[in-house]
Amino acid sequence: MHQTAHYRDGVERFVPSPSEAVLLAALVLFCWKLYGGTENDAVAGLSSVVVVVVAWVVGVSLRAALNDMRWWLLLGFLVALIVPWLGANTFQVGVMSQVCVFALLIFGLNVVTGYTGQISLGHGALVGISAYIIAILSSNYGWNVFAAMTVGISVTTAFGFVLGIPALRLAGPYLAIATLAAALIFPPLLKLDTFEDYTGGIQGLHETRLSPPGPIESFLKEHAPSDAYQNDFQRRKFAEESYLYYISLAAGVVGLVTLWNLGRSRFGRAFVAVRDSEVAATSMGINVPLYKVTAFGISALYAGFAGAAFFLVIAFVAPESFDLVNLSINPLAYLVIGGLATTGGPVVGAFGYMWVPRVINKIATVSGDFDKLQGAMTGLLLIVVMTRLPQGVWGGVRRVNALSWQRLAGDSWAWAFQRSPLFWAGLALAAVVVVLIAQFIGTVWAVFALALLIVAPHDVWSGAGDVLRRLNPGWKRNASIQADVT
Amino acid sequence: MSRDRKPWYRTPWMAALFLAAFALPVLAVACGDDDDNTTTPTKAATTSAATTATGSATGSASASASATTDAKAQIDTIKGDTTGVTDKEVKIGSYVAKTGPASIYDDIEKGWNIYFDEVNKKGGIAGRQIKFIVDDDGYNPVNTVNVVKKLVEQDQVFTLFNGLGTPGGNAVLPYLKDAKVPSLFIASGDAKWGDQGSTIIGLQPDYVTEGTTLGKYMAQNYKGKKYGILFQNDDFGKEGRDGLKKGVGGALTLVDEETYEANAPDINAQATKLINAGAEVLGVFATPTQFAGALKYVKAQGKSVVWFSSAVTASSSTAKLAEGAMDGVFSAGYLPDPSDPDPIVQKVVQFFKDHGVANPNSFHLYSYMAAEHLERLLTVVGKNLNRESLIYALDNVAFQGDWKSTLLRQPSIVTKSDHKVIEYEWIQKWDEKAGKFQYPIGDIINSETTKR
Amino acid sequence: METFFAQLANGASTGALYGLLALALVFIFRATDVVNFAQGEMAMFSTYLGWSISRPLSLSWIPFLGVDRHLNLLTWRPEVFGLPLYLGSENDGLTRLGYLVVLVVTVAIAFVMGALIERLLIRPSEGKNLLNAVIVTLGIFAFLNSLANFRYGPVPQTYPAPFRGDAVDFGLFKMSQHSLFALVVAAVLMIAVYVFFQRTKLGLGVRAAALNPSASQLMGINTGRMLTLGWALAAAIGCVAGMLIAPALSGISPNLMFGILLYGFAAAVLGGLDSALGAVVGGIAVGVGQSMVVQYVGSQWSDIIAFGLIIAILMVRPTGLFGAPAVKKV
Repeated sequence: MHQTAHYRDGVERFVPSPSEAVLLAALVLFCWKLYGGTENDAVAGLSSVVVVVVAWVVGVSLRAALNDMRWWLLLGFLVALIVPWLGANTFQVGVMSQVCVFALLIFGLNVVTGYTGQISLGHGALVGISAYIIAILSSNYGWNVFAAMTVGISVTTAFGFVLGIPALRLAGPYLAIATLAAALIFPPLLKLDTFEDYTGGIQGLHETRLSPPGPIESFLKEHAPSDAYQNDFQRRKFAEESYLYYISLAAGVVGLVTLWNLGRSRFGRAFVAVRDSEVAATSMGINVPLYKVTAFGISALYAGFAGAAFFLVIAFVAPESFDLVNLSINPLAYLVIGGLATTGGPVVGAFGYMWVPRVINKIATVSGDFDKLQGAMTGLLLIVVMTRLPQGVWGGVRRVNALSWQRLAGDSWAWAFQRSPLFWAGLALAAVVVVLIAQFIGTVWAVFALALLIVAPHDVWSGAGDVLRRLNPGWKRNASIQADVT
Repeated sequence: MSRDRKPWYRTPWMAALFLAAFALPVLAVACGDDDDNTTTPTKAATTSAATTATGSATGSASASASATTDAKAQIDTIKGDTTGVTDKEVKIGSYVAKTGPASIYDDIEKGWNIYFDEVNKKGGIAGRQIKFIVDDDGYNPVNTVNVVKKLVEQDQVFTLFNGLGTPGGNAVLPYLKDAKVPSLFIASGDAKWGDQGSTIIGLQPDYVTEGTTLGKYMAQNYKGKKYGILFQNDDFGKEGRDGLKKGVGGALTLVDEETYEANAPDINAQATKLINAGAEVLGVFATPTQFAGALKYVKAQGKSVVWFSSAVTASSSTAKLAEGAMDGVFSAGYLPDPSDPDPIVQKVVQFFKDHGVANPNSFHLYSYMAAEHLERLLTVVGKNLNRESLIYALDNVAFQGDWKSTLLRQPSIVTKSDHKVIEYEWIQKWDEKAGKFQYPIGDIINSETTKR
Repeated sequence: METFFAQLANGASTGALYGLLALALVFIFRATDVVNFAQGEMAMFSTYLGWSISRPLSLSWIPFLGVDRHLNLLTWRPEVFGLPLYLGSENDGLTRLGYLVVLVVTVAIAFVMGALIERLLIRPSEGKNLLNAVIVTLGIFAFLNSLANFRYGPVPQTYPAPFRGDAVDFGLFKMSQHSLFALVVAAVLMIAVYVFFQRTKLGLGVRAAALNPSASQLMGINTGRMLTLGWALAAAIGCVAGMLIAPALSGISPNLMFGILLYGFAAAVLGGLDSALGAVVGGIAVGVGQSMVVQYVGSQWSDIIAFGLIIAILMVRPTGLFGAPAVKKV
């Protein structure tokens, strides 16, 4: 292709994009400050330049090699394998286990909502059914955990088929609300006096966490990073969390591979056909009702596995755990954020589901002003991603990946070059405002303003232009870059 | 040619200029950050309100020291886990709900933050500044597990303090016991916190005790009548119901018991059912808006019943929501309401007003009381602060009946076998005309398990 | 029998509140084809705005106005033809005239808010996957809820209502004046929405723009403007709903609408998402159904049976009780 030829020739591959240029400038500054105190200025300046040049050359070679998606996958898998050693503490390892748990749930949602186009808000109940059955069988009846899991997952799958029955008659929002009703029925059912002896009622059920078998435990304890895990208790926790992490990771990877295959199989194509047009699908000989119910069944299978992993990792079930927002609505939102009907999208979504609240909490706890605005920040993020990346993050990645990085860099320069002085003046003004905020109101608000500039550059930089353009439909947007990308 | 000429602003020179204009402020931000990050050392400020407000606590602390000199001397010899403690600072964690359905309780956390800011300004406790790390769990137990693990493993807090809620507390209980991290003065009225081993301790009277207190009063004064119970379908409601039934015994006939889900907009249907079934006395364990709605509804229907409500809804703010319908409602209480004209209460209310709280509510008073308990405990432990000495001081020195919180009526008593802190309650009645509670009606009912 | 009618009246008054919000949901669905999860929070937020103008309002944050400027409807005595208008007093709160002023101003603000939300947030995701717009409304939900919590705090506040007198006695049952008022407003709004969509040219335009944007554009309808109008009017209806719901539930708090929204959805779907009559009837049906389950089955079963019935009814009538049957397009 033309693009490939484009990036092989010439020195263009070494041209940084504007954002990269800013990053490099920041790196120079950082090095300058790092060395500035100890050496004389000439040495400090020289070493800064050397560091930046080396960083840049490494970066350019990496980005050429990693233009191929499969390299990223391999790299991601390798990194996933050593996560327990990368995390600073067991809490972070635990969160990564939960990324795997919720990835499974989101994979399931992807089958039913992404491929088949049926909106389900009832998957929280499915996860709950699975987790509760396992908890009841193993704690009340003393079953082996893995035997209980088999039963739990099978029953959940059966329930999935039942949940699919409304999909035969209902469509769109009606189906969404019917499944939402199913999710709302679940917690009060658990609290009924009739079932309280089994479900533990409002107090929920505790389960001792699965501890690793002897040799694995001693291996993990021995190899725990000694600076982070100093005493025996911490090393035992490390072994426990890592063991659960690897179990969840295995489940997550199996889920990912099956999802990838499913999307390319007979089933996957049939699902997509049903989503795009039921009439056309029928005329091609696809049994639409069968495939719809099957989609729910497969999806419930994933949800059942998610419930089993939930039970292992959290080791506590209570009616409040399976509330509507946290287990039914948020996973769906993060699936759409990640990218519907893709394989990578759900993974991105699961990361977002676990890490976005934590990162936002981190930002919010910088200052007392912000602690109640966490919801606002999450909401803003949802809005910005949805309006700027309608295909989700993964869709955005694909779009960018369709270009070579060099093309992108060149285009960015061209784009920057085409802006009017007024635009750059406005940008400079915005930057000055940020500095002023930092000086007079506080770093926190400046960080917030800066984050706005970074997260939604298009909104902030040309938001005013957008508003004017919407009010005056006569104005035409400069479409050259859009056309290039698609 | 002239048609192809670029406009002046698309020449490379201008591009460089624009880039410079963009880059310079960014660099300036990066440099300018330092000024904000440097913390100026806090001076020992002497705000008069704070001195008077915390004065009584420290005053009685010295009195207690002489009473238990032996035990006190013992504290300094105990060695143990000093995670989160330095000579300058002690890190204390808490899980609260700043978002979600229970965000109404957020004022508690705000309250003790204000209190300890004052303590820190005066030099802290035993030379240490109290540093709180407070995380939001949205009242979802799954989040509580994550938040508490973060506090313990990443932030390395010394102890947890005043964590909010039963579901979350339940979810992290085995973990905290395993990790041997103390969880002090949990903000939940579940009865279980009293017997969960040495490192776990509750604070307020539990819901069962509260229900029993109300039930006993009912049995004495409304013998032979019919009563009904209306409760929220969670731990709070169910335990209150159990206590109420226990307290009533057989003195009144139970008509029926009704429940509702926390997200229900109103509970009028339940109230109608109970009243039409002949209930003359109603015991209610609900949250303020639903309770106020039911009061207004029943009043508008022209029915008259005697209401007994839990401490959760017994506040002047609920009375305001009920618009006059709360007159004559009985409730159990252990902490005064901000509407109380008592000078001690008003001094505390003024303390919060001085620190930027426009309308201090009952949660602020609660937080003040909780903060005093923590301050007392840390003061007693003194210099040699570790998890073992903390627990030792908690069980043997700090709360031996010789110290009481400013706002409480009776001293808090904690021993190794008794991890229930506040164990008394009184019956109170809202007086709409006077705009305050009449209390105590009858004797203060003490269910203290420690005999001395 | 007395109990039955009391529960009927009680269920109907709660159901009217569900119906009011359901009406806004139906409106927006008909006008833009979007299921709006943010409807409850938009109503809550505009209701809070109404709350803040119905009490002494400090304007000191507006620059160049002077530091101690206040707007106080309770003491403000504007003169019309020399006669002072009594909008309220410090002791008794707003008069009905004052309430009307607050209502009109708040509804106007809500109208603008709805239009702005559509223009700035919903428009970029229009014409894409239907779920995109739904996720954006979820974002607005989180944003407004958190903003209200930040600005007004989590503690419930009392809310002004126009009718606060004794309950009206109908012999078989009694109903508070506010509940009757809510029922009447629900009925009036229902008829207004029906007339708007079925009998006015503007309503026809709005429907056409939602049904087939490209065809209606060819017919000369400004579809963009129709969508904006749909959101703005829905926000205004939601605002009226919120201002009636807050006093009925004894006060306003940031979480005011969460329960109502779920039952409002149930009501809208039960009645049929494209039917104004269905919304109000559905709301009352859900309210009465809950009361009856509490009375005759048991309160623990209230939610389980209510939502179970909705699923069952939808299985029989897939587009709700009053919804038009879906037509499959090829």
